[in-house]
Amino acid sequence: MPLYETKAIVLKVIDYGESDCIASFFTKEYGKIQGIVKRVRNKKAKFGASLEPFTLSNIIFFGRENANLYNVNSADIVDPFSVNRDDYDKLIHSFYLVDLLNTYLSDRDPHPSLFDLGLETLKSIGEATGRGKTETAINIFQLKFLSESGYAPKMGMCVICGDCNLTPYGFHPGRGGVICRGCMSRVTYAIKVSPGILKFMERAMHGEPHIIKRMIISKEMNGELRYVIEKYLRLHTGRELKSSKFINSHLSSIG
Amino acid sequence: MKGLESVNNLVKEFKRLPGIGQKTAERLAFFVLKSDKSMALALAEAMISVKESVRLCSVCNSITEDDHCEICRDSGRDRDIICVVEESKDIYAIERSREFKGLYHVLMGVLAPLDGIGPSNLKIKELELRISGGGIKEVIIATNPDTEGEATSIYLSKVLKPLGVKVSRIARGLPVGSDLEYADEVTIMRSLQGRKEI
Ligand SMILES: [Zn+2]
Ligand SMILES: [Zn+2]
Repeated sequence: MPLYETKAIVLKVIDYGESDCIASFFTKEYGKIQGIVKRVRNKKAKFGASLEPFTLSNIIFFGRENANLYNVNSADIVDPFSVNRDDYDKLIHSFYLVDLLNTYLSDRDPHPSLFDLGLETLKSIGEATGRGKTETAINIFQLKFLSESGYAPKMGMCVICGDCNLTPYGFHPGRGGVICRGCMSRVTYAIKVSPGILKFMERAMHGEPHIIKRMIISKEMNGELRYVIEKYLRLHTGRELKSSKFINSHLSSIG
Repeated sequence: MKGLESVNNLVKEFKRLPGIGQKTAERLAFFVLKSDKSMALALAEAMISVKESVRLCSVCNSITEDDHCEICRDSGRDRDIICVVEESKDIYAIERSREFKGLYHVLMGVLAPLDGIGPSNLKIKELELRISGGGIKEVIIATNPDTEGEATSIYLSKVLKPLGVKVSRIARGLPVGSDLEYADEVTIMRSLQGRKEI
């Protein structure tokens, strides 16, 4: 059986039986993978903090090619993202990032640039000095995630009337894209969003990394964006992120 | 085993217990089969009685057979300091150390964003009420030193500090009797951060 060694972001670990656990990881080469870690709870010292959520670890695993469940031999910390763990706001945004990957990515479907962006986003969250930066970082990551994972919303023309020369006026989560002013008044379930947001969405999804890095938006725009993406993802995947209610209640509590 | 429905059933029930696999379950079932009927009755009664008589302490949520647990009733304990733990079983671990003489508060879990367990799913409001009631000087947070335990600890310090109590966190670091060489960098980092002058 082939043996693999790779860097991996720890997504989630659940207990399995008395002493084992099943961990899911996001790796650059193999995409999301799941592996059984034997006797992790009896030998905590061996794995230490290397299996804590959003830790970057170097893992060694083996199994058949395309196995559903690999065997994880070892995990060593490469970057624990410690500063992300000392602040509630940073913590729940980091949790949200791994929840997004764990919930919506399919197994063994590699997205190398998303992996790099994931690490960069965790780093930005750690370095962020204010709420705006954390939220912008996570929103950019969400948008990049949509375009990378095949969920990209349609941005170039009105999803109702097909008008290509529109000034976008709103977003229709069900139809999955922007709509024009005329259609906005005729359909239900559309969300009116500011033109700045739509431009930001387009840039974040398709822009060059160095441009994206410099983008920062207001608290209100971040809030609007989070709302639109959440509605859209829920409608198109049929699944909801468990950690999103954390973010929502936390952000509404700090106003 | 064919035609031995009752034995199969007992094996199946034993297998539900933590740490019991097929082989052990069969051994236990045969042990019960060979023993006196009184032994089987005593076992069954002990299990039922636990379920019927044990409940949660109305003050600290620890398990008890009365309205207030033994610790909450004990007048010899320091009543101005509360140690916050995730589960009832953590109280037993701390009590074994004989180091702590105050009261406890069981959260009945831990914040788990990936499982959707938020502050309202835990006994946090109850803790806030206990503190608002007055007489508490210090709260020690003794949740596990993993990411969820840390998240819970940070959240608690955020909501408890405004109530005017001292909030402390149990030290995290190297286990006694372990070897520095085998500790991971996070553990060593926490040990250095929590160092003490000697
Ligand atoms: Zn239109
Ligand atoms: Zn009690």
